[in-house]
Amino acid sequence: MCSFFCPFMSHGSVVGVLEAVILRSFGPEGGQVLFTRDTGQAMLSRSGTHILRALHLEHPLARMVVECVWKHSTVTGDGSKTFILLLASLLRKIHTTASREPHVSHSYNSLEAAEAATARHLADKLLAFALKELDDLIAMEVAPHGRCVSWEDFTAEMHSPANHYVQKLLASFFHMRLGYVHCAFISELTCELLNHWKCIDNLPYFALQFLKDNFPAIHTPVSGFPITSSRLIEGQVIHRDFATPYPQTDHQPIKAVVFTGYLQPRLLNTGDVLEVGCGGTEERSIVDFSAWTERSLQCLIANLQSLGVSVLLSVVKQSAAVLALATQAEMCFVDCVSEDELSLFAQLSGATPISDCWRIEPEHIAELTFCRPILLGPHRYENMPFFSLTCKATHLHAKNYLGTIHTSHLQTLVADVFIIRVKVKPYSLIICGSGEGQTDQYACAFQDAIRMLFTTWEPIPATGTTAAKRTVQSDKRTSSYTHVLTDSSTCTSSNLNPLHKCVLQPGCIMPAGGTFEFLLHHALLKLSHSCSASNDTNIGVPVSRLLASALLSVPKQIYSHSPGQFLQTRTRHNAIFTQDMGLESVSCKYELLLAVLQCVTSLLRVDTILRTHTALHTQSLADTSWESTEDEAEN
Amino acid sequence: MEMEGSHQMFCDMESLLACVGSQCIFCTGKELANISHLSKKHLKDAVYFNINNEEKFVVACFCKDSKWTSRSHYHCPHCKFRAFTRSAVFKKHLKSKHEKASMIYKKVENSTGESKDEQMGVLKELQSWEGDEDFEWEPPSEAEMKVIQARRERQDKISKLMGDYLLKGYKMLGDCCDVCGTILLQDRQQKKYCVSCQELDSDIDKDNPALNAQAALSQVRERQLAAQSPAPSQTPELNGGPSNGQPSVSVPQPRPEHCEGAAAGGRALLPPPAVPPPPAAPSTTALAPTRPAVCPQNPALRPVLQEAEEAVLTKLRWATTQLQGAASLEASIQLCSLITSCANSLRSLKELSQ
Repeated sequence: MCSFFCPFMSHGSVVGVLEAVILRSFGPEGGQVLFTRDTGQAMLSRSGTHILRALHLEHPLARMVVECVWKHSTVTGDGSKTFILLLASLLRKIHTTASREPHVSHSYNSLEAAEAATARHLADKLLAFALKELDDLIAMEVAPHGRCVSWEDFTAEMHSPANHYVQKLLASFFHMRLGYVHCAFISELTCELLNHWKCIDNLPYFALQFLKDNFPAIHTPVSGFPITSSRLIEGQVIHRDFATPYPQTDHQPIKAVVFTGYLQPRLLNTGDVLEVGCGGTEERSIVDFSAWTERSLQCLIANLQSLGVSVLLSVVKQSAAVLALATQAEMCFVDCVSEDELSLFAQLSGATPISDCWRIEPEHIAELTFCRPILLGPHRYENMPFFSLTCKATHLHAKNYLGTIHTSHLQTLVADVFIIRVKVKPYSLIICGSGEGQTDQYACAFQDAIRMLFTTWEPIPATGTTAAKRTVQSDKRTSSYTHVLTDSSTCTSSNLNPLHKCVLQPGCIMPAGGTFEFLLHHALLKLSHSCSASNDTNIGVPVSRLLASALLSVPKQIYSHSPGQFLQTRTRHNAIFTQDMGLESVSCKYELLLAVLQCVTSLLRVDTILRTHTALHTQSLADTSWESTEDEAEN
Repeated sequence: MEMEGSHQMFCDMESLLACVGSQCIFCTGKELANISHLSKKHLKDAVYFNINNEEKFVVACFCKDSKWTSRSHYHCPHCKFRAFTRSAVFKKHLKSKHEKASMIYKKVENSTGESKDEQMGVLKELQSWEGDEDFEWEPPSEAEMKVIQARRERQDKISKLMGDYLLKGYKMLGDCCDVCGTILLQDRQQKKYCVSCQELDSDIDKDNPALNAQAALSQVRERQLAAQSPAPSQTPELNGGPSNGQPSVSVPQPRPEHCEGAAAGGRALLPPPAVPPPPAAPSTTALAPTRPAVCPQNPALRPVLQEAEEAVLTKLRWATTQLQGAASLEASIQLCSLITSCANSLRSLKELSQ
């Protein structure tokens, strides 16, 4: 075991290197990174998380930072490059401040240790400030410049204003993530999907949460087609083929049952002891036993037939006898269905899966309208069990569905569809891409978009501090910007009684392109001036200035190609809103700031790195694919 | 609140003489701490002050604990690691921060004779003031600013290079280079690679006259300045002869702007001559005609330049032979850049010798 003291500057240098990596892909003018594997597969990506997780990093601090970025991105879906930029700039500012004024209330071994302790202290102060006062500040000073779009307003009408804003928000997200060409199409598709799933509950964001949690089961990636072939399909798609030949049934409704266990008791597993021939005068053998199990199985199938069940779904792979009997009884059987899909099926249909096959109650039976096989993907994937004629969809109405599919771009499409009688019409998303990596990227982008929308509309719990100390914002500022934001229902925090708590409203969005950073920068400077003027011993005084100057690094990078524009927008706020750089979510930005500050605090708490000579997790160190999961950093 | 080592304050000569030994605790390098060394180097510039109605003093220190190791500094005996380079500032600090403490000591003692712990507590509270920091932090001088700027630029360059290598598939290791402290990279062939050592010019090699022509030049200039200052009468001689009413320029050579050695040299030496040094390129053409007039200086310069040229040529020859046999792409690229820098050095050396 050897150890070395991790000097303070190495935090900055590690994050500086990561910053240099993502800097060229940042912003609307940013480029894409081409990943190539030794197998020859190539992928273009601009997603910060993808880029960072594809790097070979053995340095523990770097791995820790990448882990923080990944975790943040699984929550909010966006902002990984901004995370690194803010992190680097904050560390630089903290280092400058710490080296200028080392803290001397305790004794340290050296100047470096004193600086490191000061830095730690500053980071803790920053985090405390952010947790206590930042959301009020944002709600008071920054949010009034945006607008709050309520989820209820998001309806099927394509021309409603709420719809327009959500679509614009999605379009700017996809523009940054996937490029300019298809962002409009993809954002329309997402809006359609949201629309169909919206009526799942009355709570506005519950639909988003449902989609976010069940996204793997709701979408189907298909490679080999252009992205414009992506579409929505009614019903649920189950990614398995029929194990028995599918009988064409016309009568409705189709009844389905889900089994979680084995229908035929499995004989002779390793370690099992089977006692045959005990307690009887006749000599019994194993052949008799298996004959007995088959007879019991026949009773089971007859029971199911009497109940009118014609579709059986199973989590595990059933034995050949079961399949043969099911074929004989003209029942369709699907086995090895994944748990996610079965749970979604159960939620949508209201039927609980059966664990004990001898007790089948009415609540176990799901009623479907019809089921059909669906072929998604070119024929050459037939041999792979995942794709070959395997997709099935749960469907609500059968009308002319086959007809519409055959005229679509996916010429080879044939549908296996189940239908469920539920209060919502479930829709599945088929995502097409030219290659496997590309399709995966689109699927991740969709998922991140839904996460981003969920974070935007998730209500933020009100924190303790009241807005009594702050002065109420006048209407002047909001009115000067309403000519850009044409809707009249702007955030009414300016009209609040000063004694009311000012909470960040869900659904608050504002123009992108550094607006949020500029406004927060000015708000923080104002706060520090007012606090120092009133001689307040608030903790916010030096740290708010530090945070304010660190925030400017983001718009500086966005406008790096034209520094003149940066200065112009910094001095004149009006200029920001005339550029159409899209929309972004205020909640996501707030979450990002908090995550960055927490990362800074944990980074600066690292004193020493201990190296061990035993190789831990060698498999994951060697695995450099962009789909792999990162290990926990040794710390 | 007794401090240790170089940070302590002394009350009399006897306590200072206790520091006599084989290694001076106030100096960075190896120095014999005899009485003469202590009094000449450290006691001579001591700062005296009053604490608790007792006279104490703090000697000038050159230790590693402060960021100024080449200048003398004073450690405040009450706040550890507050170090000052100017005695006036130090005295101001003592007066503002710690004389009050000494007053409070007296007050507390006089009034209720409270315990020492409370006195310490009060003192600690005063020390943790974060108010007027302006007295303690001195803004860096211009030369220091240049050094800081150069270091920052170098760090940015290193980060950018490392980022590019990471995107090429290199692995970032958890180790640091022994020489420069930069994080190491490892390529696909499991070879370790340090960006700053192997690619950028070394930070300290710039000051080594044997490796850098500019450092050699600045060393020569420093020697000239040192030679000129005790004998200012020599300057008319140097610029005399066929000088046709030229301005009284005492330093004909241009001052290299980006040389750390020059900055360090400029700090340590006397203040610059009365005439400000001419800016780099444009004025050299104006001064070129005066060059033949200052022939006495060239013999001093020529052997150094010749040595430098020979060294560069040798390196160039070596790099060429290595390049012919180089197998890997990285090695070839590095050798080519070495040849480019050798050629540039030769060009500048030739320009200087003309």
